[in-house]
Amino acid sequence: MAVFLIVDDETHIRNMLKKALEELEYEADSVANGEEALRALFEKRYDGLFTDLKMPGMNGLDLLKAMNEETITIPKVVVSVCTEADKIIQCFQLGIMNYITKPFTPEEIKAAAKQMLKLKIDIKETTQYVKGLIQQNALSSAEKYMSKLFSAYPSSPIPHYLYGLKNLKEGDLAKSLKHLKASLSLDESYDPAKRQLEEIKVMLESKTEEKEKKGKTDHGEEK
Amino acid sequence: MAKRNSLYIIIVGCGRLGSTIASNLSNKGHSVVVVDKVESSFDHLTQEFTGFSIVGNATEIVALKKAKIDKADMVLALTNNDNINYMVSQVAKEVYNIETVIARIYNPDNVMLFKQINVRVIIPMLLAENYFNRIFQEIMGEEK
Repeated sequence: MAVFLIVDDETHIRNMLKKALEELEYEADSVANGEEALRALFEKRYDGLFTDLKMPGMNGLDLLKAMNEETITIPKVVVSVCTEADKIIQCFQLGIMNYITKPFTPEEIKAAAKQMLKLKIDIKETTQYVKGLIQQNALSSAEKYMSKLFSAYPSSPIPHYLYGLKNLKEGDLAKSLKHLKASLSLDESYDPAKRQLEEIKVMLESKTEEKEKKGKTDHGEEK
Repeated sequence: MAKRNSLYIIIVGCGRLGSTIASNLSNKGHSVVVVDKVESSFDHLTQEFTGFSIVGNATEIVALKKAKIDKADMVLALTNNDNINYMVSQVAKEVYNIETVIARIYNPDNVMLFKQINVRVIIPMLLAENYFNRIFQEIMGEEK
């Protein structure tokens, strides 16, 4: 059975969210702020998270940042009264899947929960699987999984890295470089993208050297 | 309407009637949003009320949109003004196709107006009159 974590400082909102999820026979734990949420996330594996933004102590934005730092990559939905565009954009940049404004309907919550379960895929397993598909040149199948990863983990460096590998397999070096750089801009310490980028650079350098050598030889022959 | 455990209900007007109904419905587990243009009106809500409250003029579409009227299962127009109740009912019925719209009406002459747009009505004056007649008949019967 799917289990969700609800983070909101108002008891009645927590109860309303819980009730909507229970109507779908999902389980829900609830906490009142970001610190409690992080503790719960370390202790238990959840299928998704609903969080408010304005809370005493650690607020929703800080919770989303902390989850990214701790690489807790479950799908996240914000449920807030805030309708400021800047805040909403910031939340999406932090990798949320959806933003629901209060007042919410039970149907909105149920739809978001279902969407989270649909998108929830194990990032490590899927990455390995997609790498295998790329090696076997099954690029269209790989792309399907990659777009799923993109939707579920928009702030992760992995989907861009995989696109970089796919483009490389297709021989499109320019696109590959673009994706690998995008991957590193999301997480500059992501080693697989770093290594791949180095390999491409070496490859490009040796190609340039070869060209130069060939140019010199051709020039010599002409003489 | 398909039976669901919890409905999304918008109540316009948070006077004594609106607030009592809002509290009852939220206690029954429904998602209730109360709209009133006067913030202090929400003081009428009981502590058990677990819904949302929105300060806004319900004759302006912005307030109704903020309450997500497009997603409502039911709209109750319970202000003390027939004109406002009619406007809200009309928008709910004719713009947003809300299946169940119930309005309170003070002036019984307005009943037809509401019925023409398929709105169910509560008329406190007629309810009181009927109840008075019933009591009166009981008393007369006893006297016979």
